[in-house]
Amino acid sequence: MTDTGAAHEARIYEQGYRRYDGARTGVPGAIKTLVGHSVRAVLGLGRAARHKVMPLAVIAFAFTPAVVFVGVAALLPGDLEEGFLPSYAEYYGFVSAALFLFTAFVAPELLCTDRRTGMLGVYLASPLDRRTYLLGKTIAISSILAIVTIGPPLLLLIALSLEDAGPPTWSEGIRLGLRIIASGAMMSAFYAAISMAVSATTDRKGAATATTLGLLVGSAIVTNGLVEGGGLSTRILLGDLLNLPLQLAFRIHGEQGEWTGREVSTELMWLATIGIIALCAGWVWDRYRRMLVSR
Amino acid sequence: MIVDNVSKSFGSLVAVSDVSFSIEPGVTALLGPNGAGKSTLLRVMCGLTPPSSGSVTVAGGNPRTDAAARARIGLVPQQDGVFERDRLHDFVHLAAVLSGVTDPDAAVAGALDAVELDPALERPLGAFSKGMRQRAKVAAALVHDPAVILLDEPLNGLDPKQRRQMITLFHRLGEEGRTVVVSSHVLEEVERFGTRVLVIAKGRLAAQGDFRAIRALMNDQPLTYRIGCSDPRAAAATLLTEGVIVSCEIKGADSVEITTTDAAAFRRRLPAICSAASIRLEELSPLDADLESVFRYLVGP
Repeated sequence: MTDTGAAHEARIYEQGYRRYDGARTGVPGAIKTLVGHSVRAVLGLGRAARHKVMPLAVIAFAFTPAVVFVGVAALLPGDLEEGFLPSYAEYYGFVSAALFLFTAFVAPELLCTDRRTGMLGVYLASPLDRRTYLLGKTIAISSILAIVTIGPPLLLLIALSLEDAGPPTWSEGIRLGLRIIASGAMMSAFYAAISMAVSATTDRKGAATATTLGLLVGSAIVTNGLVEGGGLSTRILLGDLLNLPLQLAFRIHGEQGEWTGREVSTELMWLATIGIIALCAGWVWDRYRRMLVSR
Repeated sequence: MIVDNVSKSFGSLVAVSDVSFSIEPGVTALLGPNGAGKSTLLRVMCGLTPPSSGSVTVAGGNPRTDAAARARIGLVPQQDGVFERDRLHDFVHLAAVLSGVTDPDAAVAGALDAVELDPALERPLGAFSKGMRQRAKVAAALVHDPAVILLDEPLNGLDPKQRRQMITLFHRLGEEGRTVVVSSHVLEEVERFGTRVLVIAKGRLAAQGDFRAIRALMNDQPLTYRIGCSDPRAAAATLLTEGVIVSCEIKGADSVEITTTDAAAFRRRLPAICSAASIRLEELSPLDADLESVFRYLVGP
């Protein structure tokens, strides 16, 4: 509509279909939009306040220990501070509750809702296909989990470094930062895979959330029971979905963790982690590949 | 004032989409249903908010960046934004000072005279009636003698008498050579402003110009007329036979309503047809050429 004719000339403008002349971003643009909308939906952005309470409370819960430790480090003398502060791998113990809550909540919110409301059909009518849709959702879920797996320890590292309580050299600081990112990314991918696999199995959000939590806690109880009570091989602990990534994070940071001396090697832990992620990914893809979607 | 390809988005919400028009001195009504984008467009037009794309030109300048262009505009916002405890004179005087008027007292007197409010009123603005407050806002917008006055829903909340007074005021401002743009969805009142309209629907410009000329352009909407005559049945039968109307409905012993897709040919041939059939023609009235019909056809029911 470029006409700027005088107002006394009466005109009626076509209100129907207009050709889109803007940039066409194709599949990458669609994935980017899907990720953006998914993240916004989970964090409650652009929604009523009640939708923001849960995600913001979980995020606050994850970051609070880091803020407290930074404050303590600023107040205590150096020798006391060293005994008080946890290692970066130990930090996950403080935020594990927040991490498990997010794990149980995020994927059901993003996957089950789309299927129950028919949004999946709308998405698949766009440049997205099932593979790119799942890719977008995986990126979104992993990114949201990364807020609590990478954000707080990274904040701790940066803040402690600014207070001269961090690593003594730049190179050590960068190495530690990379370890934080690697362990956080591993945990995000692992828990995202578990919760996506459960969410691909049922359309009910509540059931998916409860099953995810049950699977995490149940696997820990069963495997530890078998090892501690049944005297079976400690390798069974590799099936402890709750603790496997947390213990692997210790190994990434060069620490032994709680599985010390139980003959569970780091290589085996990596193998189990990658295997479980692959198994979950395969399950999700198989479910979505067979899923009947009406458009 | 020239609005050229203006769009305004708020995140993913497109409030105004690719709108272009020019407005000449006189009164122009900006029409549209609630949420159509009228207020956003007015805010863009007076430079309060930047367009996402496109441009607005007032007196040769961009009101967003050019102070001289902005000084030519007076805005009467929809919100009842007056200082409740201020007296009328103080409120308008403050607007004059903020506008950099060289003689604020004289400007206040002129503005209050234009809106016919007594400058000696001692009551605080909070005690004013809605109509008087609207006039106070108009006075504050007029105090720096702008060439363009934008009024956002100024008739909301006014009683019929106050509306008449406001409309008279708009006419007077237009006759003074100012460009007056009044947004409203009170169609029966807008029809009394004049005939020039800009119709916005879903953020897009649906039509502009004289609403009667807009109605005439609606070839896909048959026009309905009421014909008062001595023998409506014979008149209807003849008109149908001649092919100048597409339907008819007898409305009593001396009246028939017809619809036609070619209003010009119908009006041209009706007298001759009635004369040839010895039918006395007493009345010819268009029934859906008013602003409300035009608006309904453009934006839907």
